[in-house]
Amino acid sequence: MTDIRPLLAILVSAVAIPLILALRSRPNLREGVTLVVALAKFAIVASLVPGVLEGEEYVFSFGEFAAGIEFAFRADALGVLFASLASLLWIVTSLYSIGYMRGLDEHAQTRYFASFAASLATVMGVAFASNLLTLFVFYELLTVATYPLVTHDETDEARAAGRKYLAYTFGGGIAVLGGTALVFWLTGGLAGGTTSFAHGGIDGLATADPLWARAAFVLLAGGFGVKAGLMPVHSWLPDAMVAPTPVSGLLHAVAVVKSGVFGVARVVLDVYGTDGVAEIGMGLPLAAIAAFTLVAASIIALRQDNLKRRLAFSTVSQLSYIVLGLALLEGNALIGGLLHIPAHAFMKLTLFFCAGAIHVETHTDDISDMAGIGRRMPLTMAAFAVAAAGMAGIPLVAGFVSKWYLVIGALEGEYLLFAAALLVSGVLNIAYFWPIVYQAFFESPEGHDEKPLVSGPLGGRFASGDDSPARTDGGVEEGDDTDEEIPDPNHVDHLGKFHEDHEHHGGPPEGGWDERGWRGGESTWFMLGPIMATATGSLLLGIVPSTAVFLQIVTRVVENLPGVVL
Amino acid sequence: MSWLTTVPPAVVLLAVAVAVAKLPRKIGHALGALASAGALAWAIVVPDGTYLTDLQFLGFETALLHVDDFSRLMGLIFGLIATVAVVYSYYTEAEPIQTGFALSYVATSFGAVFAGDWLTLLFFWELMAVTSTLLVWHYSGKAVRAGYRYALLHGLGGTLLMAGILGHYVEVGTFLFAVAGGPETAGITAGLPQALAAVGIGVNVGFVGLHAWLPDTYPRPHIAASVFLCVFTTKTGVYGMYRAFPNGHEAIAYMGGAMAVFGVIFALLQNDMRRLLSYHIQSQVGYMIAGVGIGGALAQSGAFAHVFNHILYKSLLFMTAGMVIYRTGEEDLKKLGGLARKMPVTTVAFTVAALSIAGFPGFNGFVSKGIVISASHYTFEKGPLAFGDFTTLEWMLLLGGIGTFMSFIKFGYYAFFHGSYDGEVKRAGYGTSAAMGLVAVLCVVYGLFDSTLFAILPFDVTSKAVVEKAYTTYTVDHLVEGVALAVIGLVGFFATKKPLSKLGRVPDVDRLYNPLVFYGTRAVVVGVTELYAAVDRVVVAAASTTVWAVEQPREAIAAVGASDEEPLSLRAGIGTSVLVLAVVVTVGLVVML
Repeated sequence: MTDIRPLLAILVSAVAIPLILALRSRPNLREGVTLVVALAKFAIVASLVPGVLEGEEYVFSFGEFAAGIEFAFRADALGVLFASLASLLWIVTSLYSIGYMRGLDEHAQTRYFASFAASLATVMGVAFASNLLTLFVFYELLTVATYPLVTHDETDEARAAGRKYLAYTFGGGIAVLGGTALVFWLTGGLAGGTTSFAHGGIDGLATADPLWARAAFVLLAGGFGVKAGLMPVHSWLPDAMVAPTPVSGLLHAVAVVKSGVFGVARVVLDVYGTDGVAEIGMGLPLAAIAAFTLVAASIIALRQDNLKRRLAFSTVSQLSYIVLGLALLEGNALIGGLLHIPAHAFMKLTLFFCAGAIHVETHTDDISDMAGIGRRMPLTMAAFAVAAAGMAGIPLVAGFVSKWYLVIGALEGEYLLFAAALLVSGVLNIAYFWPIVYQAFFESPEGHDEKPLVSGPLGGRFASGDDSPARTDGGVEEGDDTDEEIPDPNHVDHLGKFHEDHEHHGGPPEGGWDERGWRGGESTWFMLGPIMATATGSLLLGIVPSTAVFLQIVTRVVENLPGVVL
Repeated sequence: MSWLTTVPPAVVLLAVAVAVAKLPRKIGHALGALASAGALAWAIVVPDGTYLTDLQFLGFETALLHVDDFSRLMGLIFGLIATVAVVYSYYTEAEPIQTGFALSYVATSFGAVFAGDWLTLLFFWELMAVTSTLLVWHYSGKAVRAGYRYALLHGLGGTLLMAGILGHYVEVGTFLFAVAGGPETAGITAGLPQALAAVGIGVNVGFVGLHAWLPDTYPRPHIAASVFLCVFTTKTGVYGMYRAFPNGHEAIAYMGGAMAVFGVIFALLQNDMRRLLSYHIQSQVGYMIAGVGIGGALAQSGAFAHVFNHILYKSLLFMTAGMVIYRTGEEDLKKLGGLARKMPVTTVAFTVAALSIAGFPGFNGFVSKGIVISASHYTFEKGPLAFGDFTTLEWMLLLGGIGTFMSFIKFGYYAFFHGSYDGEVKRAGYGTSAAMGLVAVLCVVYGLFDSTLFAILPFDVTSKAVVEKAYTTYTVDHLVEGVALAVIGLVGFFATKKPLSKLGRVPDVDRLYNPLVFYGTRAVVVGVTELYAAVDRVVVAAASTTVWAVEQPREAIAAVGASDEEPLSLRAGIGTSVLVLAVVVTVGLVVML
C-alpha cells in the first residue's frame, strides 16, 4: 500500500541538517534537535512494524524517470529490520555522543552531529530502497555523509584513513553500479528490464544467461562485500578506527557495515532469490569467502593491542557470520544470519561504547595498559564482559541465538566445514576477549600477564613456577611497520589532537587505578546509560528474542521468501 | 503444589547468588545456606513430570523443567552439598562475592540437571562453565591464567557438545528428551552426533587426555571454592553422558575403566594435596562413566549411586584438605606430618572420607562401587583381558580401587599420621567441624544402612525383577574383596613409598598440548597478520601508483618508457568512463531530488 512513511523516515533527519547547522552557537538546543529527530525517526519506523509483521508492505514512489530508472521506496520486513535497528541505536548513540564529545571537548561538534543526521537519513534510504538503483544512490550518499565523520580529527592519518575508506567504498560502489546495469540489461533492458526487488528473485534473471548472471552476482556481491568487510576488501575497516568512537560504533559496527550486508541480503534474497543463487552456483563460493573471513579475522584479532583495532577485526569476523548465513540459502541459516544483524549490532555497539568511555575517562587505548581497570570502571567492564560473552556465543546473550540457528542451518545443508568454522570462531572469540575481561577485574597494574597473550611467554608471568614479582607491562605491540611521515592509523585514536607525540599514552596513574564503585561514579550517565541500554538489549535478544520483536521480523522475512522451507 | 513447578530452581538460586554477593557476609551466607537447603527440600517434594513446556524458548519447543528419578537424585545431592559448602565458605573467611559466584554456579548446575531438552541443558552447561571460571578467577594470582585455560578447554567441550546436539536436532527435529515428550529413541543420534557429544561431555568428566584441566584448575582458588568446583561440573557431565547414552556404549565403559586407572596412577605421584584429590576426581568419575557405559538398570543405578556418594566424600576430602591448608598454610604433603594430634576432628573426617572413597566395607563408597563392579562382572562383556573370574573392565576398576587405597594411605600417612609438624596450627571454629561432621556421618550412614541409598536410586537394585542380577551389599565375597583391596593397597604403598618420594613432578598431557597450542597459535597468528600486512602494502602501493599515474600522466608514461612526443589523446578507458558516468548520474539524481 502507498504510504509516505518510508520517505518521511528519510526526510526527518535530512530536514534536521540545516537546523543543526544553524544552531551552532546553542549546543544544548542543537543536541536536543538531534535527540528529538532520532526519536521521531524511530517512532515512524516502529509504526511500520506491526503492519509489516502481518505481511503488509508500504510503498512510495517518485515515479519512473526513464525506462528502468525508478526512484521508489518500499518498507518490507527486511527493510524494516535494518531501519528499526539503525534508528533505535541512533537514539542511544546520540546520547553517548553528547557525553563523549563534551568529555573530550571536541572540535567541530556541529559538523559531527549534522553528518550523523545525514548518515542516518541515507541509511533509511538504503533500508527502504525498492530497487537496486535507489539502493545504489543512497549507498553512495552514505559514504559521502560518513566521510566527515571518519576524518573528524583532521589529522594526517585521519585523512589517510578517509582516503582509503573512499577508495574502497567508491570502488565497491562502481561494482554495484555495474552489476545493477547488468541486471537491468539481463531482465530485458530497455524493453521491460527492471531492478526492482522481488521476494524470491526477479523473474527475468531466472531465465537469463548463467554466465552473465554470475558476472552480475560477482559485481553486486563484491561491491556490497566491500562495506560488508569480506576479505580481501576489508582493510578500510580497521583503519577507519581513527574516527571518534561513537562513529566507529554506530557507523562502522551498525550502519555502514550493516548496509553492506543488507545489500548482500537484498541481492541474495530479492534480486536472485535463494533458488536463483543456487542455480548459478554462487552460494558456495560466497559462503567459502565468508567462512575464510570469519576465521582469519579472528586470528588477526588475537594479535591486536589497540582495543578498537581488536574490535574492528572482530566486526569483520562477525559480519561474515551474516554473509555465511545468507550464502547457505537454508531456512534456519537465513534466520541465523539475519538475526545476527541486530544481535551483533547491540553487542558490538556495547563494546565500542565501552572502549570510548575508557578513552574519555582514562585516555587508555591499548589492552596492555588496561590491567585492573575494572576497579576504575566496573560498570563499563561488566557490560563489556556481557557483550564479549555474547560474541563468543555464550547463552543469555544475543550471539548465542543467532549462532544456534546458523549452525543448525549449516548442518541441515550438510555443510560440515562451515559449521566447524562457526564453532571454531566461538572458541577464538573466547581466546581474544576473555583476557581483556579477566585482566580488568582479576589482575592489577603490578601483577598481570603481558598482552596480547600470544606475544607473551607461555603460561604468563608465573610460567617459571616461582612467585617472583610480575613483570609490569612494557611490551609494545609487534605491529606493522609505520611510515615515518604518516603514521599508520593502527595505534591511534585522536593521535596528535592533544599534542601527544608517538609515545605511549594512557594506562593507570601512579599508584594504580582508583576505585569508583558500582553506582556510576566512573563516568557520566550520558555514556553509561547507553552502555547499559545496549548491554540490556543484548541480554533481551538473548533470552526473549521473539518478545524483543527482532526474531519475529526475521522470521517474517524468511517466511516471505517463496521456495524457502522453514 | 503447582507453585513448585512454575519457576525453575535455577532462576531462584541465581537471584539469591546476586543477593549474596551484595549483602554483608553473615547475612549473605545465611541466605545462601537457607536457599540451598530450600533447593534440597524442593528436590525432595517436587512431583515427577515435565513442566514449563510451552515457552517456545528461543523459538524452539523446550521443557525447562523435567523431574524424574535421575534428575531428582542430582538435585538432592546438589542441594545438600551446596548448603554444606556455603557454611564451610563462611567459616573459612570466603568473601561474599566468591560465595555469590559459587551460588551462581550451583544455580546453573540445577538448571542443567533439571532440563528436559538439549537446548536448555546446553544453555545451562555453558553458563556453568562461565560461572565456574569466574569462581576460579576471583582468587587472582595464578588462578587467573589457569582459569583462562579452563575457559578455553570448556569452551571447546561445550562447542563439541553443541555440534553433537545440533546434529541430533537435524536428524530428529526436536530437542526434547525422549522421556519429556521427544522422539522414540532416547539419547543422541548414533554416529557423528553421538561421538561429538561424547567428546564434548568427555571434557567435563575428564576423559583420559581431556582431563588435565582438573589438576591445573581445582587446586588454584580459595579452599572453599575448590569444594564447590569438585562437585558440579564433573557430575553434571556424568548426568549428561547418561542422557546422551541411555543404553550405554562399550567405548564409554572402557574409557571409564581407563579413567579409573589413569587417575589413580597420577594421583599417587602427586604431593600437592588438592592436585592429588583432583586426579582422584577423574578416577572416581571413571567408575560412574563405566556404569553409564555398561548400560542397563544395575549399572546405571550404580553410576548414580556413585555420583551421590562421591559428592559426599570428595567434598569432605576437599574440606579436610582445605582445613589443613587453612590452619597450617601448607599445600604440600612433603611439608606436613603428624597433624593427627593437633587436628583430631579433621583427621577423623579425613579417615572416614578416605575409607569411603577407597570402598572399605561399612562406608558408602563400598556400596556404590560394589554395584558398578557387579555390573561390570555380570552384565558386561568379558573383553580382551579377562583373567580368572573377572572381566577386563572389572580388572580395571579393581586396579583403580587398589590405587585409591594406596594414594589415600599416602595422603593420610604424610599429612596426619607420620612424623610431626612443627609449624603453627591456626585455630578453627566449630562451623567447619560441624560441616565436615555432618558429611562424614552421612558417609557412614549410607554405607551401613544401604537401603537408604537404594531408596533414592532410579532402579531397585535388590529386586531380580528390575535388574539383571540382584545386588546385596554385604556378602562374604564382597567383604573379602573389599578387605583384600585394602591390604594390597597397604602393602603396595609401603613397597613403593621410597621410590615414589624420590620422583619429581611427572608431566601430564598438558605439558604436551599447552606449548603446542600456544606456539602453534602464535605461529598461525603471526603468519596471518604478516600476510595481511604484506597484501595491504601491495594494494596500497598499487593504489598510490595508480593515483600518481593519473595525476602525472607524462611522468607515468616516461617511467614506462614510452615516448611522449605525441600529444595525449582524450580517449578514456572503461574505468574512467564508468567513473565519470557514475558521477554524472549521481549529481543528476541529487538535483532531481
